[in-house]
Formats: sequence, structure tokens, C-alpha cells
Amino acid sequence: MNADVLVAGVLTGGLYALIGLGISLVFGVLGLMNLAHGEFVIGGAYLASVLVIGAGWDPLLVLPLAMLAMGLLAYPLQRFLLTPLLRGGKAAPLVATFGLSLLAQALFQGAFGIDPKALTASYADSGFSLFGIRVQTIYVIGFGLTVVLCAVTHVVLTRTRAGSAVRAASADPGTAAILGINVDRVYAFTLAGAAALAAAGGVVTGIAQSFSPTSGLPILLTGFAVMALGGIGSVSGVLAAGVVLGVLQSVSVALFGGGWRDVVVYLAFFLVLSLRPQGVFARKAAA
Amino acid sequence: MTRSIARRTLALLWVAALATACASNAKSGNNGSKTGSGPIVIGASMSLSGPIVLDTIRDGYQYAVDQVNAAGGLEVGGKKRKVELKILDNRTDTSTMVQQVRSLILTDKAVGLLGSCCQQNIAMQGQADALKTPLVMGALPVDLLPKGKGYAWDSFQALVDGAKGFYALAAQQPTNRKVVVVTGNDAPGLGTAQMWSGMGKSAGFQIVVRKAVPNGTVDFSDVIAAARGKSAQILVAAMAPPDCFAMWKQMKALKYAPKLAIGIQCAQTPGWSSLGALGNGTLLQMNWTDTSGLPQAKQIVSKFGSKYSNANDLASVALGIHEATILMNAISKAGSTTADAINRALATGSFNSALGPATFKDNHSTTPTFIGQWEDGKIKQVWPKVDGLTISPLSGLG
Repeated sequence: MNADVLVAGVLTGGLYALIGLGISLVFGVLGLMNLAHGEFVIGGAYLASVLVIGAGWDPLLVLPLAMLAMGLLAYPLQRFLLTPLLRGGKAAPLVATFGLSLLAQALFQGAFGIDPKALTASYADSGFSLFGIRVQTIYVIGFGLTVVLCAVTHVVLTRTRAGSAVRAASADPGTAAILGINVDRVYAFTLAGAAALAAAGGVVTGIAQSFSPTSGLPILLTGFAVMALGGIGSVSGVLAAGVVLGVLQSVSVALFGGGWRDVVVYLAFFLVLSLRPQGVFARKAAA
Repeated sequence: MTRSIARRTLALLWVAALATACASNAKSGNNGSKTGSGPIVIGASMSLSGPIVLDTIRDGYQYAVDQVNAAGGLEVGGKKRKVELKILDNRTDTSTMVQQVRSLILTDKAVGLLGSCCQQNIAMQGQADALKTPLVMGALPVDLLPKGKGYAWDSFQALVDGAKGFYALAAQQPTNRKVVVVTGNDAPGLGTAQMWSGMGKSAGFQIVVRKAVPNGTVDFSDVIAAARGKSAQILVAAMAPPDCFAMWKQMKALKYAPKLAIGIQCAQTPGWSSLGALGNGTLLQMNWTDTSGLPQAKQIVSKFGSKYSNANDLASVALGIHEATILMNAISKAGSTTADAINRALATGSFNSALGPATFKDNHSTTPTFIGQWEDGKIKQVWPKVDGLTISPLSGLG
């Protein structure tokens, strides 16, 4: 095994963290497993593809628009569908997100067909040497973007009034409502924020890899693994977990062969769930 | 008095039930399919939604049937009869397919079946055998059809021919004959790796790297490092399309540039064109090309070229025409719509359709294989050689 493999694992892990961040945020604040998160990611990629493939725009220029669009789509979903369901318990909204996932897949297929697509850009398949190690430009960009978005999310949650409202609604929605916090709106903004983060992950995925209507499920599973390793609602924990997951995958493939990649990753996943259910990095990251 | 009313009511109910049953039978209108009066029903349970969408093959089926009906129908036992094609969407769900096949045979009185695709065709073989109804299929390489009870007939290309064609082409190119084989780590992937490695060795190539990766792999740095370390100049990749997309991008970024690369399964998707220039020069195995010289090739391009711009989509249309034509010709040759007569006709007959001549041996009929090459979103045939078409360098990765 050489350093190239390790560095590739770290950089791929950055993308995993970006995907896991939204899942962790929604579960941390709403207590909801969003089974449609993979489709939020792919939805971001498809929205970007309209301008990238259709009009020749640069994917990174389209990225903020895709984030905004996914956020705007997610807000009413939470406000008018999932939050009313949440009042009756966690099961109904969980099933609803599963339904949304299936609906989104059908919509993607109807609108864009079943063939895989990729977002083309000069940096999608270019690389450069970093301390003598050849790296893929888009993964470096993706890693940088993840760090920035994690930092922004952390600052918003810990240093702003909106963040205080989110934390209050997360800790005790009843008391938060008595204190004048509009919990329904906080929930809707939280899902919108998570969808925007997912869209960013989708655009990077589309540039670095490809996407099709059914790509959401493996992305969702990766996101869950990141969330479980990182600790629920922990921003820095999610970043660290993404990197650990990426490195674990790369190293296990290099040492034991491709067949062991998922075995090693999910073994780590189950070990963490059994021995440290709050996540490996939860304490360090507690804000 | 009360008893009499009850009796009358019962009698009325019985008559009503009988009338409903008769109406239902009449509504299906297919009693004649097997008896020689009405249209001949051919059934297909296909994946028309979900992860696999076979619109192209369905169009081929319909086109072949329309052609026969436009000529007055299918001649069976000296009498021309119209053909009714009943196609049901099984949404890529095998349980649904099983129910639909039963319904097509038992309710709609289909005298023969046409296939779906891939793994579903293997599941459908069991149904055809169980219900003793002939099934003509393609979209499943003949090497992969399990031995059944004789009612399923597969006319398609053989995987082994793709490997033969590729190595014949590679032998003419200036390479160091060192090959890296990357496949999925499931059973079909490992089987493909074994077959392509064996064929490569027999053809005088050296397999220097052989890697099996799980479906969904996005980081190929280990494979690339190994291939570069062994100076492999020929890449054989048999993976799902998303995996190849990620690998091609990573190869280019990490400056690993083989001289020849074939994407088995993955480069066959029309979506390969969305890789842009990166996809240029990649080779793929095909069952039909517009320059193949196969029967009806020009007709297929002129009829479906505006709907399907990609050669692989047109190849699927050709496959659909091929399957439907074989089944209808077998019915005609049998001179009867009974399953056993049609099955005998399939076993002993020689057919000729959009994928060329078909004669079955052990329920298999191997159709020709071609090697194509992607160039600016289009596919051209590079093996067997066609006048005016030559193989281009692997510019996408170069």
C-alpha cells in the first residue's frame, strides 16, 4: 500500500462527510431518519445537470443555485408534510420519507431517463501533485468545500440566534415553543439546510463520479455509516467520521482486496453502534 | 313461498354468475388464439419501468408484429391470422413477472412468450418450462442460459465471442500485451474475469493485474497503482456503469493512460456519452451495428434512427425484431398454435432475422458479435473491420 491510496481515501472521505452532514443534522434536531436524503443528493445533481448539460454552465457556478433550489423544495415538505406527521410519532414521518424517496426516483426517471449522467468540467478528470502524491482535483475541491460547509454549519449552530433556536428546538421543542420559538419553522429550515448540503454533495458526486435515478440508496447507506461513526448532530465528528470511513475503505481494499471493503466498513459500523452508540467523536465535538 | 323465492334467487344468482363468466371470457377475446379462429396472442412481461427500461426491445417486438399484420397476418395451417401482442410492464420485479406470465398464458391464452432482459430471463425460463409454453428470448448471453426443460430459446451473442473479438483486435495494435482485468466481485463479475483472463492468455496476452471490486466502488487508486506498477497497456473493465464512470475519471486524473480499454457492460449504456471527450476511444461489445450488414439494418435506422440516436438503442430494437420474428416464424412453420408443435419448430427450424440466421442447438443460437468504439458520443464498428472505419487511439484517457 502506498501513500496515494491513503490520500485518495482521505479525499473521498471528505465527500462522504458532506453527504453524512445533512443526515446527522436532521436526526440531531428533528430526531428523524430521513430516508429520502440520498434522493436529495441526487436531486441536487439533476438540478445542476439542467444548467450544466443543458446550457453549458460550470458545475461549481451552478452549485449554490442547486443548494438553494433543493432548500426551497425541502422547506414546504417539512413544514406541511413531515412536521404534522411528527406530532403523531416518529414512525409516520419515517415511512413518509421512504415514500418521498420512491416518488423522487420515479420523477427522476420520468424527467431524465434511466441512463447514468455525469457533470463535465475540466477539473472532473484532472489532477495535480500534492507533496509528490498525485491527487484528483475534484476531490480536493470537494474536501475543501466540505470543510467550509462544516465550519459554516458549526458557526451557524453555535454562534447565531438562529442556531440557538435550532438547539433549543432540538433539546426541548415544548419549552422552546413556550419561549416563543417557532419550532415548526425551525424544523423546516433544518430540513432545508440539510437538503442544501445534500445538493452540494450531489453536485460534487456528479462531477467526480456519476448519478442515475437509483443512485440514492448507496449514498444514503454511506451517510448513515458516517452519522453513526461521527455521533449524531456532531459537525466536527461527521467530518472526522467521513475521513475515517474513506481511509478504512481504501486501506481495506489495498490490504485485503475489493471484496473486503464493505465487510471492514460495516464491521466498524456495528462495533461503534455496540460499544459507543453515541459515536466515536461525539464527546470531542459536543458544542 | 319463502323457499320458492330463495330457490328463484339462487337460480338467478347462478345464471348471473354464468353470464359474468361467459362475458369475462368473451371480453378476453382470446379463446380463439389456440383454437384457430381469433388472433394469435403472443405475450411479453417486460421491464418497462424501474431500474431497467426496455422500451427499445418493446418497439422491436411491436414493429415485427405490425409488419406481419400489415402483410395480412401470420400464415398458420394455410390460413392467415392476425397476431395480437400483449405486453405487460413488470416494473423490474420478478414476482410481478411470474404472475404476469401465468396470466398471459392461462387467461390471455398466449401461445408463445417473448423475453425481458438479463437475470429476469432466467427466472422466466422456469415459468415457460413449468407452463410448457415456448419462450423466445435475447438480452441474455447464450453462455449464461441455464439448462432448462426445453421451452426457453435464447438467440443472442456469446460473451466468449466478445473476448475473442477484442483480443483479435488488440493483437493488431501496438501494445506490450500486458492486461489489467477489473470486474465486479459478484458471481457474474468473477466469471467474466475468469473467462477474459483465460481467453487473453490463450491469445498470447499476459494478465498482469486482476482485481475484483464491489459494486459502488468510487476509489480505484489501488487498481490504478497496480496497473501502472505492472505497466499494463490494455484495460478490461466489467463493472456497473457508475463504477466505470468513476474509474475513467480517476485514471485520467492520476495520469494512467492504457492504450486500449474496453468497458464490458458499463460502456454499453447510452449514458457513456455524458462522459464527453473522456469516453472517446473506449471499446465495447455489441450485438448489432448499422454497418454490420445484417438484414434490415438500414430499415431499422430509417424507422427508429430519429427516436433512438444511439447505436446500442438501435441494437436493442434489432434484438426485439429478431426475437419476435423467430417466434412468429416458428408458429408459422409449426402450422399450429399448440405449444409442442411450436417448440418442435423452434428446435428444428432455421430462421433469419435482424440479427442474422438463427438455428438452435441445445436451445441456444449464437448471433454475431461486434466490437464498437465510442467517438464524440457516437459508436462506430471497429471489429470485424469495415471499409472506411478504423480504430482510433484511446484519446479520452490519453
